[in-house]
Amino acid sequence: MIQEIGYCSGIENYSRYFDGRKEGERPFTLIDFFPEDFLTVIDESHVTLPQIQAMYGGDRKRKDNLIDYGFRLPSAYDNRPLKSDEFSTLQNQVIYASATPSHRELELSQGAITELINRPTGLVDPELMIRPSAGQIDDLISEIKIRSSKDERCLVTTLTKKMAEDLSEYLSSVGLRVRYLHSEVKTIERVKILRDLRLGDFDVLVGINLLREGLDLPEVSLVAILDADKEGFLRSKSSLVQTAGRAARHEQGKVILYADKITDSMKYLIDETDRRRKIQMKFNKENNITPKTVKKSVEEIMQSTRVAESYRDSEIEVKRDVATDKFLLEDKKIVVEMIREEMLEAAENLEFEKAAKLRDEMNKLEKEIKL
Amino acid sequence: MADFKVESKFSPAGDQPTAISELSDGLKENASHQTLLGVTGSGKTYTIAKVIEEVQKPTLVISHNKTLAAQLYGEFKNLFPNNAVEYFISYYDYYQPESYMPVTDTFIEKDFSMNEEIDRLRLKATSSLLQRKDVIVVSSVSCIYGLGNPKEWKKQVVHLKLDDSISRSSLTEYLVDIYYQRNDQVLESVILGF
Repeated sequence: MIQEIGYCSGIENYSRYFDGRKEGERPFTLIDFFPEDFLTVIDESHVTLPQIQAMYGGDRKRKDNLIDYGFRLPSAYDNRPLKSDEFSTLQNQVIYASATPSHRELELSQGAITELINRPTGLVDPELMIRPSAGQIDDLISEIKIRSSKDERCLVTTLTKKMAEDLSEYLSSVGLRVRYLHSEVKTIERVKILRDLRLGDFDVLVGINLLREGLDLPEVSLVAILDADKEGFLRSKSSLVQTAGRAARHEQGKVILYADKITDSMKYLIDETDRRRKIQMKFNKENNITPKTVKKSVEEIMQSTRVAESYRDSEIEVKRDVATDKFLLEDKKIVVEMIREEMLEAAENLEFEKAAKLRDEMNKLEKEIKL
Repeated sequence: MADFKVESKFSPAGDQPTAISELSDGLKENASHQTLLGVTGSGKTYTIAKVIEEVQKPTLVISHNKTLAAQLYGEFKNLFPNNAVEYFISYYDYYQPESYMPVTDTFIEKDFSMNEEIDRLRLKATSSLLQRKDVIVVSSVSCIYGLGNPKEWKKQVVHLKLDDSISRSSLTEYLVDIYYQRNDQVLESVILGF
């Protein structure tokens, strides 16, 4: 086929023969196109490095099944991403950039750590307050009310979905304007919720993991962390530092940790915040800087969230009942986008069966739209 | 050949001047690993840009998701308007690798939809790297996946510069040699038209 028409589908699996590589030898990558003396910058290294390390394993697992059950020849193993150590060997000089670098980067850097603590805006890290869990909800409500009356916003993070649901229901029943952001909320609606929060359509956003990108909201002056002393992934050092950082764009930014004991991660956050604030306040005093929140106009907020804009007036809560076929054309287009989003996420998480089902559903809908 | 030059109405402020000189000095003294710990809102991208300007090295910037990569690409492009700032992420809008699930005996065929614009930007990234030194490539983890051998790649490129002279027929021959197809009606990549 290659001789006749110049290509053959699936041939990339056997790239090793075309590249003239030996068995097990690494593939050529973009890095091979760089000259010898180059620089690599790994952004958000605490997430990016583990991701680089995981790529080879995921690919290998998928190939195991394809090769063991006879769908591909063993040489397909060699059409693969780089292993972690191959990636390291290819580097010349590396800078890891992160607000919360992990042990690995710090160890590799052997003390060559440069800090950016003082912001050009002069804003200092938010002040931390630790309060007992007894009476936490009443305390939280009064803190929220203070912020709402000043046209400021609050983020509240809980540990479980159940608790987030119950809490937002309760806060709403006492008259607070609250919304709940959970993992099933898709990108488009997510952006819309965040925009409405910034514009002041409501005052409090409750969620579990509020660290995902796009949450740099200068209007937020309070971050409340419930169950801060339950050590675990959502309350680890880097999670706590990143969550507390969500209040760092406001000159009055404060963080309340509801906890009955001080865990190691909390201790780290407290010490680190204390250290940073001292340095920042000293710097501001020496340089006569008065910190100021960056105030955004309504237009600027609209501009920065215009993905949601085109969907603003459309009903997004469309049921996924494809069979009844009762959607308007516009709704269908939105549903297709939502399914596409979900499909990409499934494929990224290596849930191929789920992704394939979603793909079929999406194709079916797309056909209907064209009719 | 242009040097890296940052164009910005801001000058380094806060901790940026110190960070820029620390990182650049480290690079000049051949430090292989350094960490930049920057708090939210401290201007990490600007600092990195100034370091690149200082050391004048071709740079690969790796990000863990496409949205962030696109943001960084835009920022670096603004900061370095006269240098080659390139974008290298997977050219699939959707990619479903072939896979087999023994438990349910399901084989899923490879399926994808390719984004031509991203493919074009990827080719631009590799060709910039082979032609000039002032290159920044903003990439996702796509940069650790297989790509052709750079030596072979170089043979599959027709270099054209302003004021070069080449006859139309030999240019056509070169292009057909590297699998261009002639079509005078529709313009697409890998299609050759006059």
